[in-house]
Amino acid sequence: MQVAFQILINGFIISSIYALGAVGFSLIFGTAGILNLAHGAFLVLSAMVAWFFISAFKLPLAAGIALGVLSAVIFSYLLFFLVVHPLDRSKKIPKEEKEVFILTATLLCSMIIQGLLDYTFGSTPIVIAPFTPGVVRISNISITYNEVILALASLAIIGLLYLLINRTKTGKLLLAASMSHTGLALMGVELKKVYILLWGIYGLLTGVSGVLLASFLGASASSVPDLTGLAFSIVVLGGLGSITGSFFASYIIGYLGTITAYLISPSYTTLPAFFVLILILFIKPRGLFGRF
Amino acid sequence: MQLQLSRSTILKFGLIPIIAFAFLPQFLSLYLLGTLTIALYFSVFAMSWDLLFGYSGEVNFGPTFLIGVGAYTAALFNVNTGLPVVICIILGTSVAVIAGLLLVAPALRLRGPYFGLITLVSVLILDQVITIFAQYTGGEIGLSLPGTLAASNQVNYYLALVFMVVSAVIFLAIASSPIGLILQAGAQDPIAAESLGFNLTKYKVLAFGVSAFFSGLAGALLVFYLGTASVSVVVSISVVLQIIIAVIIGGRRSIIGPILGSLFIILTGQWLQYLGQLDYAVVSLFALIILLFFPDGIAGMLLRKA
Repeated sequence: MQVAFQILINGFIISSIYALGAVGFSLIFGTAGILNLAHGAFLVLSAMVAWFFISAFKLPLAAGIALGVLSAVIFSYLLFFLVVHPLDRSKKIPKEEKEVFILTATLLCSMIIQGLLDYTFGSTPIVIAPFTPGVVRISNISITYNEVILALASLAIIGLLYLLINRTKTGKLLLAASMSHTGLALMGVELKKVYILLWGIYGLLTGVSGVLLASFLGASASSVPDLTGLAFSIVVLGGLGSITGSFFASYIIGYLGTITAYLISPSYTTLPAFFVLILILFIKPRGLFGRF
Repeated sequence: MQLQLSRSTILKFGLIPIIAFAFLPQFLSLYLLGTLTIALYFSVFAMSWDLLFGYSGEVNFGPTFLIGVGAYTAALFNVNTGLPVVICIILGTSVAVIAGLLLVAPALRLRGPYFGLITLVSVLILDQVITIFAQYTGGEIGLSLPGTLAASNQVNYYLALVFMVVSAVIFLAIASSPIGLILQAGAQDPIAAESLGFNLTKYKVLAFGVSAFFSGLAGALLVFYLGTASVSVVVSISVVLQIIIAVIIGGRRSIIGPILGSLFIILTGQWLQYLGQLDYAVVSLFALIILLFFPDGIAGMLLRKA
């Protein structure tokens, strides 16, 4: 009984953080049609930059996090202006191969960022210090305040994103972009402005989730492929292009991992999730809520 | 880019390099010869990947699933049974082909990113299974093999060279035959290709089978050359990335490109070793620049001028 309760709570915390980590990946695919395989690199980048400024320059937590998020935004724009946009415009690449080229290019960027991080900050895993100390006890189970804050902050940010997309004019633009780029251009909206807005939001979102992830799981350059793989699995399971789908899929993957860790062994955490993923894709080839 | 296989092209890009490669052992140090042998096996990995990516348009993130299955099956048979090395290699290759046919099942149902993820997951599962059953597979340390291909470095080199050339000829034959054209047509517009009466399923299964055969065989041969089967050489995600980079740098959909790319990436990898952790980043940056400015790769640049 106690184990069940523990799984319920820990699963909820980790799933909520996963959800925030995957939402950005889902957003950029849904609206720009870009599968950004450098996603994990962005998450680790912001975490490591934040950690570096906090530990080396003794900056306050908030300032460090702001710098981390800023670095993610800068790299997000670099990726867009130097790689994604030129490839999209390139006349040398046939149209039907663009998607594959952009995919491969983001993968290469991921390796470049990973190499740079490894070189600059070393390969030892880092942990962002807890936001607040202290432990809360609910009938024999202890949860740190930090975990509670992380889970709630993740849900709050996802909630804000939901409001932004569904309740504001900016959000309407993004929604329209997710339906048809041509349609949006025909309505007199300059597509490039929408992209710039989008990659900005993406950088912000990924930067914040990178810091929160690192506060719970820690981060190191070598965790980049795992994080990209995790976001990729969650987003595909939920269905590409559906943010709601990604949200629910995070809880499936998060709880599966937690259950395995508690009942079988922590070293098998990712395996059941992979099998469930294959199974679901066999039954529903477009994921749970997929549009593409 | 479409390859024009005129007689002079074959002469320039086929015969001359082969003759040059045949004489290389006279001039190279044993260490470089060893590196080159690995690069030759790696070329077969890259060509197998190119057949799926360049021709049938499938982004396969799991080439090392096939390579690893071939390599580890052969290695496990060698360690646990008294079978001769050749039989172990044949068994490894056969199991890799079966694995390839298992992988084709989702490929026929899933498109683009969904298929990419399944292949990626197949590698991650294989990696985990090898780690979990460490008492049989040697886990992260690797499995040392009692059997070897040949004792002499020269013989090993020539074996790899012959294997690579034979594979390249077969891949080129497939790619320039109607099968290659139908695969490309299917990649560009599956509906149009099927409405012309081609059974794409049949050709995709064939492409996967051929790719799996050569991946598995090359994987099995490579571990017997190295004397150990380890995750970091035949399974890990970083090997997948190297294969993808090799094909992109060399020039996709050209079969010759992946060979050039593999030689490039393995040899520069040796030179860049003094950069430490940065070597990967530098090679990736180089690949990215090629991708942005010369999407047809080294082979594209060479053949355009030719």
